[in-house]
Amino acid sequence: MKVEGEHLFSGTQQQVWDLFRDTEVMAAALPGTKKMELIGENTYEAVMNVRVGPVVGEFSGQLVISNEDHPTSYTMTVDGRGKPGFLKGVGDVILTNQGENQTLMGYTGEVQIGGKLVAVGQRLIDTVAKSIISQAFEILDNALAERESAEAEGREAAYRKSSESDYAATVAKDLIKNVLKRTGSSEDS
Amino acid sequence: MKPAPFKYYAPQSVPEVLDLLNEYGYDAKVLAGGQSLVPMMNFRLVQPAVIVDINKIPELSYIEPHDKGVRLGAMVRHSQAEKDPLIKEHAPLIHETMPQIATVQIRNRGTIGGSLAHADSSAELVVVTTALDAKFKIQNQKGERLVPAAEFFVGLLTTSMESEDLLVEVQIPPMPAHSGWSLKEVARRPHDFALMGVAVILTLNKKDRCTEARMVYLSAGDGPISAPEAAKLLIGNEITPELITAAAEKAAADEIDPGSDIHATAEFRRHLANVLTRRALEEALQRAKGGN
Amino acid sequence: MTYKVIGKRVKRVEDPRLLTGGALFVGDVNLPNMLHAAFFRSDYAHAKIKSIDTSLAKEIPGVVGVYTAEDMGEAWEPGPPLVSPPPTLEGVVFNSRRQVPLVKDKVKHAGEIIAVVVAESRYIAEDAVEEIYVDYEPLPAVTDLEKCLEPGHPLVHDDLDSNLAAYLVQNKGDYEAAKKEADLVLKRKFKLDRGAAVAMENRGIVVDWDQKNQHLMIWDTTQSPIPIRNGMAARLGLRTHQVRVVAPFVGGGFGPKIMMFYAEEMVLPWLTMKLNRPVKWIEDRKENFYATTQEREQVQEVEMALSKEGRILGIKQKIIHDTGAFDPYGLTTPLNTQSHSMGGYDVQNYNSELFVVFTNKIIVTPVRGAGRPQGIYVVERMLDIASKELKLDPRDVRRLNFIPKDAFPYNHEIIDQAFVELVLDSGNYLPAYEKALEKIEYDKFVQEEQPRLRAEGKYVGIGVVPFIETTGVGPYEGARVAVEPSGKISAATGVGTQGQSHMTSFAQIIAEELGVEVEDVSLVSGDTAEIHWGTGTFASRGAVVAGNAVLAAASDVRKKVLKLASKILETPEDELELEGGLVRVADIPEKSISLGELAVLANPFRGAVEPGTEPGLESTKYFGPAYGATAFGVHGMILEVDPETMMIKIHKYIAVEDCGTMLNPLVVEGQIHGGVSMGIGNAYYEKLHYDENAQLLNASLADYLIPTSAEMPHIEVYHENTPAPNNKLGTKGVGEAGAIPVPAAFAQALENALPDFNLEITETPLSPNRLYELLYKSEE
Ligand SMILES: Cc1cc2nc3c(=O)[nH]c(=O)nc-3n(C[C@H](O)[C@H](O)[C@H](O)COP(=O)(O)OP(=O)(O)OC[C@H]3O[C@@H](n4cnc5c(N)ncnc54)[C@H](O)[C@@H]3O)c2cc1C
Repeated sequence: MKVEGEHLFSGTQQQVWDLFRDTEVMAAALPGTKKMELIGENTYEAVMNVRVGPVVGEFSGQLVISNEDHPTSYTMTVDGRGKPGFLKGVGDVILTNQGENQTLMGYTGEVQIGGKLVAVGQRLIDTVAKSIISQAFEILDNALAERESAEAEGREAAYRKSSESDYAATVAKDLIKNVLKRTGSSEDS
Repeated sequence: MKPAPFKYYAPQSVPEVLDLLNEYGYDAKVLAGGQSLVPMMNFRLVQPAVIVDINKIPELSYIEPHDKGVRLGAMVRHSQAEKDPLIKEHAPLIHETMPQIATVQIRNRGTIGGSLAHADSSAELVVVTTALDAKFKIQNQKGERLVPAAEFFVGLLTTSMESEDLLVEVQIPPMPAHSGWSLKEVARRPHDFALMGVAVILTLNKKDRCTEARMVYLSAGDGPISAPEAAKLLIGNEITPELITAAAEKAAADEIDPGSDIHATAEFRRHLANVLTRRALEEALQRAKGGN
Repeated sequence: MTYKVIGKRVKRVEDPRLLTGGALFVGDVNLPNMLHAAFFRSDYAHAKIKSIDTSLAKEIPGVVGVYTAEDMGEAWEPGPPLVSPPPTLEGVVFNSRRQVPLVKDKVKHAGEIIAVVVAESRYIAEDAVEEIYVDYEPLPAVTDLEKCLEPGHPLVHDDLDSNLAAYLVQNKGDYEAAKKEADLVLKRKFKLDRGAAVAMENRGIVVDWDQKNQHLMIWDTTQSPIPIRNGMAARLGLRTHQVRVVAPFVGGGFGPKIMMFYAEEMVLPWLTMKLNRPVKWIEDRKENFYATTQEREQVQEVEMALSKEGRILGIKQKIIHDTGAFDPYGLTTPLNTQSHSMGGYDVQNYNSELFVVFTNKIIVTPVRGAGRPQGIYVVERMLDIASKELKLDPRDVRRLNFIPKDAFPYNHEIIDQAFVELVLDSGNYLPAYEKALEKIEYDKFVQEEQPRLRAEGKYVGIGVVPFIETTGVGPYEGARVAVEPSGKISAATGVGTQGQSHMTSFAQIIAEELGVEVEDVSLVSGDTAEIHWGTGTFASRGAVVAGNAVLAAASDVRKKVLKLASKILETPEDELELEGGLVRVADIPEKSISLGELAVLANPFRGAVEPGTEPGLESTKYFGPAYGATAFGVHGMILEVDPETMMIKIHKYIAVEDCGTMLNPLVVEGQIHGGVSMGIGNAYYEKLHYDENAQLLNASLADYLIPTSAEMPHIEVYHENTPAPNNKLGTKGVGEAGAIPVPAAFAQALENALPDFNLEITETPLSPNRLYELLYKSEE
């Protein structure tokens, strides 16, 4: 499966670069991350509990960063396995400066998915991938904003760690709560 | 294809259900018709530790008039809704939708509440209730709340319900006077999840100008996907074939975000969206003019 | 020959039991103390196994054992070749590589079995499978038929120097010379994709070892119980009498259930004997997609040389046939493709080069049609395209090329699936073709209907396609027929039954011969305790090979009956008749004796059985034809396509078939209906999607789309009768026929419906998405 797209961050190239190299932030952005550790140079070990609605699957694997060209591009390789199947992907990330405090991230990659995930969940895979990516960007945007304001206020940035099992649900709910707050139309108890 | 072990409860009343959901939280799953949950359990994609079967609660199966529309208990089976005269009269779009869902056998088991709670972006009811601005009554141990469709469906297979919540009712408001509706979809076999589909509601004023237009798509993203920009092209105008073409093109090209799978590429889905929107708008327009 | 019972529309005698849940299927076999197996299958299509950890699985309460290849020790052995290798002709390559019970070192397709769990219930066994951990080294997968033979390509079998499983050239006449005479030389490339058989009942096996009796009992969903018995005995070092295989009612075979031995069939008997407890395994639907054989994937390059009148001067063909990870079934399927690539046409020059390739996909063995649909598809498509190029009526082109009635037996001069010369025994093709055109009202459709519908904005098209089907191949089949003391008849044959109505149509043959009611015949098919010799149900051969064996046995019993009755009734044999369960004197009906009484007298308590005679009214006979019987048929459809949504609806479907003598027209029509539904699947719905890593993307019936009753058109079936000259009954097979011409007829009708689109279809199946690409994306 091909994965490609781009996302505009409000931040400098360097800030975005740092963001992506911060395991804590990445752990918050990637679905249901239980664990994300640097285990060698540019190699991370991760355990993730991916949840899409009622579907849950635990994956563990490695993430390797290579071809680094600071702060504009790198290659990311993921290799994960879980009971529902396996996932292997290689992707290139390019950060381009888009004027003041704007950085465009472009990504292209190829993901192989196998096992019962694709065999029986075919219909949703593409949408799941898109949805995970867009949710991750949402969180990264927030993280970036939080960093900036923390810096301005001279305090430490706080990240909301995604809970162990209900990543999608929580993220989605946070989103909706934000929307509700903005529109003020909540009938929520 | 056997599910992982789970604890099974079959409570007889809603409060008992709410107690169980409160106790087990994310470990529990409500079992309604089982048409989506059980296959996922058998594939072991879903492994709930606790199943709370709500089939033994008769008070969740009502269909009643409500505020010129109708309200349906969560356990109303698809087939029950399909044949119900109240729904035919007060919610004709729902009436027309029901036979397009799955097969007779599945409709005999599957429930309205299950389909909505499951929030499959290819499910007709998800899209139609969004187009109709339905309201969802949700209960938990602490109380009850009413959530509009736009805030109920929040993502792929995800609603704004918490793990301790039970969907008990869906309320379908009536369509305004001079409204026309249509649901058009393309499925490989009639009972398959559709490759693409659109629900349209058009409302005209006395001079046949469009006052309200809604187009909501299935299999077009991670939930029911609306096309407000395309609707804007129609609102305030007399609807001409040219406007229909423009709106269909707009929605298909810019507002939906379908994925690709083995049955259809995103491109083909956009093509279908274009064709179906045109056909649905034509039908809805005719019905609106017919005074429905 | 006029028959009283044969050829009648007798309702199936097996139906009451089947329809009321009273029939035994393997899944119904439950024995005391029985264990259940579940398999750990590889997610990867191509990977080295680095290590296997079963320790967690073994700890689960209720798990009796978890086993891997290592545990099998000496018993680990690949499956046998199912058919003999091709003759060692010059230039023929055949690399035999067969499936293994449990993978030792390298996985060759997704779904291959790495470990088996045996537990007190299937639930527990599946829980334990989840706890097995295998460490793999993934390898690049071999999937592309055209690229997999390139040097340096990854190899499915590391001990071979390429992915070539087999190579063979068949030649008739001189194509190159014919081409020089041609007015038109057409060249096209065809892509024929994979489908699954999707029998309603998946596979299953229950094995029980009786230690004291030293006897192994196997219930198996096989189409070939006797070869399974023979092979199992050999694998386990037992005598054949120590093994009994029963294939009870089986919910659909369609070919994949002939395969032997599936890994599960190799593992379960071993486990049973090791644990000394019965073990059961029933394949689930997901496993069925990963573990049961599939078919149809080929890429073909075809060249056809024609005169300007449309006469076929020659055909040249290159076939790349995917056999999947192994080739236990030899060349049967691609040889069938070659045998059908000239259709029922008089083609004098034919050159066909066959490459069979290994890929990391599920094993390929015949599926209803077995290579024939691919052959018919290419020849019929080429004729349609040629007709357009030559501006000829496609009907005239076919009329011109049919093998004429007086040219039979017609020797196609190539070898068929049984490695004997492909001789079409008989046929009368033109009248059947004309009948089809008449029944579908071809002229009326194109002259009146189509223009009228087009004016209404409807795109409706017609397709009519003739085809042949080689059927009824050897080697032989047997039957035992006996009159019981009750006067009822017991019969047995080795061909297992998976829906073919053997219990009815074979009973009709016996009823005809012995003058009894069909209901009085009880036929056992598929129990090795009932008959010792036989091969199985495949290649549309039941009615031909087993049917004639049944006839031979019944005739022999009739002879014995007449001989004994003649003595007792003191009347010459030729004055006796068999009627209503009695033997009576033709003109003195009161003078009679019942078959039951005769059966008792034939098995006397006192005195001696005369030399040269046998006790009882019983006979076992065999039938083995020198070559098969070739059936013929024509299918036509009228379909409507919406060129905006690509949705297609078949409005009318007719089939004219000629399977020689019909034992029971109801059964023949049922076979056609079933075949057509598979054909419609192959034309429009059914495709196994493998990605570039040989991952199967639609291993469930939610995404692998089989036509259901809702998608099926009403099918009108008409009959012609050209009896087979080489068997007494004159029967030809019809089991696979229905599936063969459908994709070709579908493509013709679709092109006919869309004349403005310049559509040329050279692939099957054709999904709506693909049709969209063909219609609107001209760069394709
Ligand atoms: C072959 C097949 C084809 C299908 N085709 C279609 C189709 O074309 N269109 C379509 O729309 N649907 C289709 N369906 C789905 C069908 O409509 C189901 O009815 C629906 O998905 C779920 O309803 P259910 O009552 O069976 O819910 P279940 O399977 O019992 O439950 C589904 C989910 O909802 C939750 N849930 C159920 N009830 C409640 C409640 N009251 N409160 C909170 N949570 C609840 C469950 O915990 C579970 O997570 C198809 C299903 C199958 C098997």
